[in-house]
Amino acid sequence: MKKLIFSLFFLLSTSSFCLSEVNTLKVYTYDSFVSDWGPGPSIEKAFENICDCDLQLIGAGDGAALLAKLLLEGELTEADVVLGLDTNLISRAKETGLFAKHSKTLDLNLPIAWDDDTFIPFDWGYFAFVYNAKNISSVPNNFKELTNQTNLRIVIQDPRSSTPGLGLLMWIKAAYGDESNKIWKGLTPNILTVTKGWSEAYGLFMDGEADLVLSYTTSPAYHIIAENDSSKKAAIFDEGHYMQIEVAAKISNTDQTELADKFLDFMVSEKFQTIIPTTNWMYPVINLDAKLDKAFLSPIPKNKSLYFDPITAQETRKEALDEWLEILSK
Amino acid sequence: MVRNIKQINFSNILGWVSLTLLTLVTFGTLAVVYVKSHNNFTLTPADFKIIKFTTYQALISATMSSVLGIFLARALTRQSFIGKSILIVILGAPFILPVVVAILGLISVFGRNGLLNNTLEIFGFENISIYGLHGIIIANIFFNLPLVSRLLLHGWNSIPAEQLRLAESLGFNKQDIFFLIELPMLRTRLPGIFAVVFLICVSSFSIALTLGGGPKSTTIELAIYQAFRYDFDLSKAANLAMVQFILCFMITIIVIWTQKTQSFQVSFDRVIVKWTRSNNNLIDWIIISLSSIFLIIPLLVILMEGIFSLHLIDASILVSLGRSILVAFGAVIICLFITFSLGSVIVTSNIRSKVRWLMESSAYFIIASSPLVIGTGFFIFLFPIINPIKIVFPMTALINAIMAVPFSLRIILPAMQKINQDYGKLSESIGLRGYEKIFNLTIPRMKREIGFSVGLISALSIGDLGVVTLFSSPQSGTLPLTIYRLMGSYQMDAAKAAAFLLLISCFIIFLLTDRLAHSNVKD
Amino acid sequence: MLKINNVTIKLKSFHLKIDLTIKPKSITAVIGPSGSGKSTLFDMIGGFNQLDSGSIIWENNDIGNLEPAQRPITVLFQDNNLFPHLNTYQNVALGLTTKLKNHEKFKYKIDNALEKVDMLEHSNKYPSELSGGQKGRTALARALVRKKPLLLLDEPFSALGPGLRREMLNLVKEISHKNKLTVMIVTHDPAELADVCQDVIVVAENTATGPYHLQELLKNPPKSLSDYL
Repeated sequence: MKKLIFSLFFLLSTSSFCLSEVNTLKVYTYDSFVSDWGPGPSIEKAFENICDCDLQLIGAGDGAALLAKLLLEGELTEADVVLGLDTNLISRAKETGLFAKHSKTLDLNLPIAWDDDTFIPFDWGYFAFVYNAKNISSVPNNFKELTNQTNLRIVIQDPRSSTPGLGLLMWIKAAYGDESNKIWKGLTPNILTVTKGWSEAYGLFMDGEADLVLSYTTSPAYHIIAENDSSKKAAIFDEGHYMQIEVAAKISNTDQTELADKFLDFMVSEKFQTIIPTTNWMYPVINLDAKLDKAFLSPIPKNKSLYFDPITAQETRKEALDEWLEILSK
Repeated sequence: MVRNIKQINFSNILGWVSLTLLTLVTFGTLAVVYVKSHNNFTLTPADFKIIKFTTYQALISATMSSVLGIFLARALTRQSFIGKSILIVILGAPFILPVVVAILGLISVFGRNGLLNNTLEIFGFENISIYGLHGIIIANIFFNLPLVSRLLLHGWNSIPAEQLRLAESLGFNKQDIFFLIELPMLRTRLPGIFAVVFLICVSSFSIALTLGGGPKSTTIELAIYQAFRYDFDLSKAANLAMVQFILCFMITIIVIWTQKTQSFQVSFDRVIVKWTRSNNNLIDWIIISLSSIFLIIPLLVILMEGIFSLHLIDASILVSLGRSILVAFGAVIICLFITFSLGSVIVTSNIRSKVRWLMESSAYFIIASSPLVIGTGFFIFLFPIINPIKIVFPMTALINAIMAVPFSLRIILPAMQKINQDYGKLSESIGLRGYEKIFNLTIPRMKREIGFSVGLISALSIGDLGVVTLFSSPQSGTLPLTIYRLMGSYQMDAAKAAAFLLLISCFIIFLLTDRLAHSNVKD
Repeated sequence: MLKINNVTIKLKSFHLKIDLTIKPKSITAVIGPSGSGKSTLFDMIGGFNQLDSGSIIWENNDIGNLEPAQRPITVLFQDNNLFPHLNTYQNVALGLTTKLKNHEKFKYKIDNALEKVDMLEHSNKYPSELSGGQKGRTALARALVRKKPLLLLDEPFSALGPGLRREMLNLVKEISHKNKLTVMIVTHDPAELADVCQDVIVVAENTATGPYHLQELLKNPPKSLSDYL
């Protein structure tokens, strides 16, 4: 018994010893980012080639849970960089005082002008419901049609833990304003389940459990490029689509300031940005021109793009969340 | 004589230290929670729905477990077959089975692509869903049907053989036997069993975490977790913790009140001639086979699928297993310390009965407290002083240890009482006291009980997915937490491999402690 | 008259040969070392064990294949003769009907039996409130209302003190005499039965034989029994 315990201690201590030989940069991110099929592995390799360091990408649930995780850990967090919040969470994240301002001049290619002094975007896209064209004959053209087709089962994410889930709250608020409760009441019978994160929801959809899943207009590109399968499509809604801009920032009391800055620079470099479209299946934040695969349809027109700036989003969040909780718990 | 008094004081001090520790952890954390929620105790309409859902799912689960348990126990009493004793041993397994492992097994059977739905599909039936209310109820029944059956089996076995012969000579028919013999037994035992199962279902966090979660299927404990991990809203967590405590406290009062004649010891396989002459064979066999399939298949599936995914076990999974084992080791040490300290005071003859009552009941009242409530209290208390994340493993070990005290005391105390009765005067007369007494008399005489306790505490701790979910960092989880994370990121094969590892570890620990317990026992 | 002709019983690792005759309206003691098969003998007569061969004749009828309830027999066990959730009155009523709700028509009989064993005032008490002797009396009252001519007592008073035990045995003697019962009593202490009965059956070395005269047996025991006595 004693031997067993000693060898365990040995095992645990050695694992941390061998890692401490080089500088380590710890990046908290969402689960799907670090998965084998996500951007994580390629990005880790690419950054470690240029930094002489050990990049640890740590999955901490989905985007919104990531923020709560940081609040919980507070000043003691091990993270040096947090990657994977979005514009809807920026105000709340700044209130924590945990994030450091950046001093970079950014040359970005985004549908909106970027002037945030703390967070730097690394990809963007539009939320959309993705479906399998083989299974659905009449595709809904807007939320009202979706609520009318009660036989369509949808999977969505919890807005408290997941950024797509929160994005859907914002989408419906942006499209319907005070009428949003009617849409939610209409949607409730369609909702098969509410998952904690995007990965689970998409997994359920791929298993055929649901007809539509809340994801992005760019998700079908994955099936076309990686699987040569053009049956998965994004339903284009005539109310417009809510835009998500995913962001990252440095933790203010990191002991790896230089390395963190280097990572943020790398994040908006061409190397990182070319990896993003075909691994995270989102639009890059810089202009890649021909390097962006044709499967990425051009973004939807600007007049169909819905978006709340961070402050409005923060103001809308609480009310929309309470409304959602009350309607869905019935 | 002077020395004697000193010794008694020493054991008294340890007893009071343990009692203080217990009280601080259970009621101390509760006080912190109360203070935090005191000034702004509000429950939203959504919170009330959560409370309603919590009691509703527990009520349905407890009712179904009890009804099925009655039939299963009755069938097992009447029928005798090869493998019956193995089946009865398996009925004891869910108590120590890590919940995540069972959940993975249940998903493999009842999930969208599981065995059951694939079969249903062949015959053109609707699929059933393992997520939400249905799943929670199925999982609750999976864990509690065996418990109910074993306790009721004990009830049936405790019916004196004379009563059955008496019934025969008085010419009772089947209804008479049911109403005059079986029903009275059920009437004394079932309320207690039902209350225990209801309590378990109200506070089963891991099941709700893995199978529930949407606003429609959230239990109070899950909502505490969500307040932490989704919103980091400490006062909401405190409010819900208050509600959870009050609910559990009330049920515990009912449990203790109905528990007067309850015993958790089960005697197996005492087939009585009369019962085996039953002619309800068909129904009995259907119940026995369906229950066996329901309880055994999910575990078999995990074992099979886990073996084929073993190559997916990587260093991080092994390290998390190491953490789980260390936490379990800590929990065993702390729990045995508390159990023996309380036990020594309780068995001492010259102690006031009020003190004895206080020590015993404080230990048994732990079943009313929930790890999540304790965790919330710890967090609120420690957060301004030290970040609880830093001490997550010692804290998990402490909480796991305390949650195991009622079970370990129940195993250890009777043995201590017997040793005290048999050898108390002898050891006094030859001057065997203090540590010498513990190492030369108590431990050697109690190897079996200690071994059983160690096995039980470590199995409960190693499979625990409770308080650790509140605090742990992404890369520093225990094995059950790692399995849960793998499930969340939809890496089911890796999750099954890790579940296989956890299951095997539990099994090995049980074998080891069992061998320890049976080495050198001389009688 | 109860005649047991060449009966053999085979259990797992045990067998018993019985061949004996019990005089009507007598009280007969049954003695033997523990584990010798005294309870098996009673189980056989009571109908709880299957016969492998032989017959049991009561008043010229073969009762060997009857169900326990159909036999002319009441058995009192060592313990658990009463249902703990029923009161004294209800426990006695079970001897007449299992439908406890329509016991009214039997009230006279039940009260009468309770009075004979001096238990009428305890009618509403539950077994947990009764002393050992009172429990024995209640069980006897039930035997009375059943009116079965054969009463088998399997050490029913062994938990009682010597004084109380003698008192109970005297009660058995008295009511069996009044009701013309044939009684068999298993005992560990044959001397104690000296006032109550003359006949004794010996169960030892896988056979049950007798009856012998009790006094003579005690003076001059066979070898198989002398060690035990």
